Amino acid sequence: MEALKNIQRVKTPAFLYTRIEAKIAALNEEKMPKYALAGLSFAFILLFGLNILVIDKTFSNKSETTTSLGNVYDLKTSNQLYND
Amino acid sequence: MSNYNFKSIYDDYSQMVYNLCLNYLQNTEDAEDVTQEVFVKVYKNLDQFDEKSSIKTWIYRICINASLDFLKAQKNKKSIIFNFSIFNNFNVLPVVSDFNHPGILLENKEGLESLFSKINELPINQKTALLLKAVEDLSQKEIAEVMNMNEKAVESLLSRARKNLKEK
Repeated sequence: MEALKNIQRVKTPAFLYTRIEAKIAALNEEKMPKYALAGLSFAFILLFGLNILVIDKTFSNKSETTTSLGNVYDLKTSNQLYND
Repeated sequence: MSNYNFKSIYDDYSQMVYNLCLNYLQNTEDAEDVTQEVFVKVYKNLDQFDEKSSIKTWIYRICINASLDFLKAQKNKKSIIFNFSIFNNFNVLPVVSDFNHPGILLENKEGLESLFSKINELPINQKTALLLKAVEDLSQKEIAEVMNMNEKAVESLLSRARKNLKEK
């Protein structure tokens, strides 16, 4: 155990601080600013909402078109061939 | 922002961190990697430092945790390579960091290398307490603060560590 006392203090390697600074700089670059993140999320939600609206409108229009076409051709859902 | 200046913290504690990492990992490259990681963590968490303990104690804690995480990661990497080599019949040996401690004089190298190999087999708490006491020369009170336990527990850890080392 006393042998452990013989271990000498070692100086830190040269350029260690520079390397740490580079790591910190890389860390800061990787981070997306909060306002950019918020903007991106808002744009995504808007796009998603618009998509849903467009899809909904398209389907509702389709059913309207079918109904109107049925009316024009006077289509009936009953089995009777002649109108009494 | 905290009252502390990162550069001055680095100037004051880099040697302490690097030497503790060296004693923990016994390899210059690993110690350098972990020292870098420690100071990046210090930089990131400096705002959250609440001054309940001294900054030295706080940095010691970060350093010990980073060293333990590094050892765990290395252990996992070794086991993956080992399993891979068994299943694929490859002749790959687990990666072992060479003993490379510049603070040890050549005449003491053999003895200390075998002592460190025994210390590395101790449970983590015992190893930490022993290194902080025997190499870093911290008092039991300081070790208790760093390890977040009471002095009695540290005393018991140290005596068990010494007992275990004698048995090995």
